[in-house]
Order: sequence, then C-alpha cells, then structure tokens
Amino acid sequence: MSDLESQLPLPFREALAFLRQHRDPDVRIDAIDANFAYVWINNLVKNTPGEARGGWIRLPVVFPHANPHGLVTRDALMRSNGEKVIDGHNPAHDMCKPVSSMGGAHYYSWTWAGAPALNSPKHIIGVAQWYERRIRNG
Amino acid sequence: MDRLEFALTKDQFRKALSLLFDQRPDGDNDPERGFLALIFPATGLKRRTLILGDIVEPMPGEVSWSPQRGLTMSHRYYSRAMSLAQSTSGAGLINVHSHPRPATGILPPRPSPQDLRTDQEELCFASRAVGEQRPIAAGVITPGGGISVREYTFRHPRSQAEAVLAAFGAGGASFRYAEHIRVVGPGLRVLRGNPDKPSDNVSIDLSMTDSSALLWGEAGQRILAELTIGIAGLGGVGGMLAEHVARLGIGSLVIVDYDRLEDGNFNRSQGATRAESKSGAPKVGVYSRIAAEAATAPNFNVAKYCESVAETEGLRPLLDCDVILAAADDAFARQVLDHAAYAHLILIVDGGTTLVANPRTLRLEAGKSQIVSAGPGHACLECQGVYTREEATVARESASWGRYLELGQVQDAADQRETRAPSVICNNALVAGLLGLRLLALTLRLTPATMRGIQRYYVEDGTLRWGAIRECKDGCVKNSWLGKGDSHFVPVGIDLRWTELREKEQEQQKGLLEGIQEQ
Repeated sequence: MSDLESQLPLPFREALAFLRQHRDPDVRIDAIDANFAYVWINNLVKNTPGEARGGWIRLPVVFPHANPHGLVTRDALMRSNGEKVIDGHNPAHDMCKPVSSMGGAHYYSWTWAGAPALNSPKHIIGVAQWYERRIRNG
Repeated sequence: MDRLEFALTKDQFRKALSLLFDQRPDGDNDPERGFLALIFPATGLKRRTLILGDIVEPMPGEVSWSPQRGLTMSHRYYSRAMSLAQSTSGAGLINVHSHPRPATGILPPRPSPQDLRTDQEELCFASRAVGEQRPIAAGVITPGGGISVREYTFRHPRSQAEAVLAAFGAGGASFRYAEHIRVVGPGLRVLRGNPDKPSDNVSIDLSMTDSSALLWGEAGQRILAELTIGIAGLGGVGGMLAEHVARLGIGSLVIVDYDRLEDGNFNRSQGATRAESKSGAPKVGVYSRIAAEAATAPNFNVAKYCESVAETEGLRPLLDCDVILAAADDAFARQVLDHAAYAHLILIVDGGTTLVANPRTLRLEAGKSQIVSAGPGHACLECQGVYTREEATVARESASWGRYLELGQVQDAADQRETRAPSVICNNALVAGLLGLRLLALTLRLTPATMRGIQRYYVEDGTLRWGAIRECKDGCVKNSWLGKGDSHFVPVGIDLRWTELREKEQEQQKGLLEGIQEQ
C-alpha cells in the first residue's frame, strides 16, 4: 500500500481493493487534494490506444458517502464516433494540478447528479463503468 | 476520558426487558435470566459510551440459574457470542442479567457479590478471546427498567510467566460503572447507571425557573440540568439557541463554530456588543459569555471550540452531547452530523431558513424555514430532504462552492466570491424557538406529537406545516450503522472555508508580528 493510500479511510481502501480485484489490478492513487483523491484507472477509454486509455477519477476520500466529481485525462477525450467530447471539458483546469506532473491536462467536470446512489465500497465498480459509458457517449 | 455512559435504542430496551421478564410458555420460572450481546465503543472528547449492539439470544439450556451458582451461561453460548464479536469490526461483549427486585422504580441495581465473581471469571475468558482493544462489560436490569452497567478492564498477559499470575486472571479485574444510561429514539431518556450514586445531586434553582417548571415540574427541571446539549454553528439561529438553552436550565453546553463576528452579521447577533463586532471576536467566545450570563442552572458550564463541525476536531466535542442542535447551514456539516447521530446514538435537531430575494427589485421572492429531528427512531436528514449527497459533495470542493451566490453577480467560475444570503433576525428567532420546543419535546416529552418529522414555515403565506416524511426511504443504509459507534466511519474531512480563514488569520498575525519587529 502506498503512503498516499494509507492516509485514506478504511471504506475507501476497501473500495480500491475491490476495484483491483474485479477490474484493474494496477489501480493506484496518484494524489490527494483536500477532500478528493485522484484514482488512476488504466482502461477507462476503449477507443484510444496505449496510455491515453487511462484517466484519474476524482473520488471523495469519504467514498462512498460522497459522490465522484470529475475526471482528469492526459489527452482530450474522443467519443466512440470519433468526435471530441466537449461536455464539461476544461483544458488545463486547476483540478488537473494535483496530477499535472504526471500529464494530467484535461478536466471533465462531470458530477454524479442523477446517477445511481452509492452506498457500499463495492459500488466503485459501478463508478468506473459509469465513467467508461460517459466517455463513450460523450 | 472523564465519563463512561451506556446507550441503547428504545427498541433494544424493549427487547431486553422482554427477554428478561416476559412470561415464558415453556414454564421457565428461574428468578434470574440473562443474555449476551455485542457492544460498541463510541468516543467523544470527554465521554466514552458503550452502545448495545445485536443481542445474541440464548437457546434452551444455554442460560441457567441455581441457588448455589446463581446465573450461569454455558461455554457453548459464550462461544457463539464471542465468534460473532470477533467477526464484527470493533465489537466487544456484554453479559446482561435480570434482578427480580425491585419490581418497580428505575434506580440502578447493584450486582451481588456472586454476580461479580461469576462475571469476572466468565468475562476474563471472553476478554482474552475477543482481544484487548474490545470492550467487555456486564449489566443488570430490573423489571421496572432500572439498569446498571459496568465496564471491566482485565490485564492481558504478555508472557507465560504473567499468564499464571493472579493479577492477570479474573481476580485482577477492575471495573467502573457507566454514570448514565441513555435510551434513545424517538425521544431521549437518561437514567442513572451507577448504583454507588443513585440519588439526584444535581442542583437546580427553581426561583429562576418556576414559570417553566409549572409545565414540567421539579423533576423536569432536574432532567434539563443533567443534559449536555451541543450547538453546531453560531449564526443567527445558533447564537440565540445558546442563550435559550442556558435560560431553560440545561446543565452543560458545548458550542462549536470557527467564525468571527463582524459588522455584516451584527444585525442578527443577538446579545453581541458593538465592541465584540468591531473587534471581530470569535463567535464561540461571544456566545459562551452570553450563555454563562443567562444560565439558570446553578452549576452550568459551557465548553467552546473554535473549530469546524465538518472536521474531527469540531465533531469530537459534540459526541459528548445528549442532543445536538444543528444550525450550521452547510451540507457537509449536516452530513457529518447525520452519520454521527445514528452511529453514536445522539439525537439531532436541525434548523435553518432560506430566503430568496429578487436581485433587481430587492423584494422577497420565496422563503422557507424548517426544523427537523433525526437520529434513532427518526428518518435521517438526507431522507427528509435537508441535504442531498450531491450538495454534501460540492460543499467539499471549495471554500465557496455550494454556498449562496448572489443572483446576477457571478460572471464566471472564477468570480465565485462569497456573497451574503438574505437573513432576518426575526426568521432566526422563529427557527431558534421551534428548535428549542423540539428539544423540550424530545427530552421532556412536553409535546410528544411534535417529536418526529419536518416542520416548515412558508414565509410568503405565513403558514407552518408538517412534512410527510417520517421514515427513511427504501435503500437508505443509515440503520445499518445504528449504534456502531467508532466502528462506523463518519465522513469528516477538510472544511476548506475554515482552512481559508485560518490561513488568512495566520497571515495577518505574521504581518502584525513583522510590523512589531520592524518598530
């Protein structure tokens, strides 16, 4: 467990363990900025090759008691039809700063409003799927 | 930790009384009965509470009584209960048994010497099995509902040599009684728990409270004098409440707020002086002074914390309280208190006002005040619509997000400067008054019909109506952490507005010091 990860509350660490087991063993925490952690997931984007497939989901450190808020990526996102994702796109936004040294450059200010309620650390799987779908649909 | 208490919900209390005293169809007429249950520690700043968890119901033959040995619980029964405790995060074990006498009254019963011997032997074994950090306790209940609970401390041997010493066995046990027993939901009943201190020694001054004591008597006044009430947030509502509860005769008050008085909030800072406003005095200092001057309880004390309720340092002193009056007007703080209410079995009464002005005409467009209770026996604040998960998320994002932004003033995201929400002292007084009345309903059952639910005052037409929600919605998980105490993670975090203020004050102090040094 990384130093950053050990600072997180138990439910968050349980969520990470579950995500690693069921989705992506290489999930990692790259930054904690006040009340949010930047969770790197390798394979969020299906229609882009290599490193560009990953992204940082901004998860509240009190997950699942507060909602995910935004996504940071290295490259601008493309929809499955090849068009650029423009909804909530903020290039070089302040929210990228915690991971800018790792290439974080595009912030998508997507909130969880209207999405399914999150009540269990295991619901992190649904969060990853939701972001995946959101990227695909733009 | 100064004080030990024991807490359980009203439903658990009923279940315990039923297990111990109901007539049994199998003709079990033993003079004493007992059961094992999980307990969870809940830690405040000065109070440690043991909270009753799941009761492990005994199977036939697992609990028996004989004149020679008194009440005994079988190894098989202990084994089942210890397995459950070991597999439940943070749980300890309590052994509870009945005393047939006195048949009436709620004085805390004293365990017999035989009880103490048996408890120590059985619980020493249980303590080693469940682990040193888990609480171990024993309790006695009488048919009238009197309870005493004692928490045991056993020395755990670190070597084989220590393991054979009497000091590390049952004989080396020490215990202390829980001073109070809190039966929570939907109202609050605080019973005495220490048989060494069964009588009232709380002093009251009826010469100052005779008019209100006409409604609830000397006994009611004593109940108030024994309560510890917390106030989260000292704005227009919270500041008034500090004075109200002090005048009602509450014995102890805990106030938490990080803000300072300023000219901009002087018009609703009842009791504050111009000098305090001009000097930017911390609100906790101002309202602790006002409460101390207004108090009618002879031994009134007020503890003040210049902290944010949304952070651990601000929450912990509130976990010492019997009821928390929430006037923080912030979704982050509300969510934190909502969690604490269920996990720590503390009733919450939340209140606030939203006034919306038309920015062009400067006339009232809409407005609503609301008062709502939450915690065991109530629907949670979230299900009653006091805050949403999204609002609690956004309030964690920045010092200004989620706060009121004056209509028409925001140019873009960078211009999210803090602006003031409309506020009128008269609306604050209405909310403070209704919060106080709800407190009396919960603690004295003064108006039992008003204990639960959400009460809304609609400013435009001046009507006061009850909301429909009395139960949590399907899928709400608050009850799954009911009574889990420290085992439940309460979602405290970093209050960015408080952080910003602290940094600003530190900068100012630094500048001041540098100025002095230059001179």
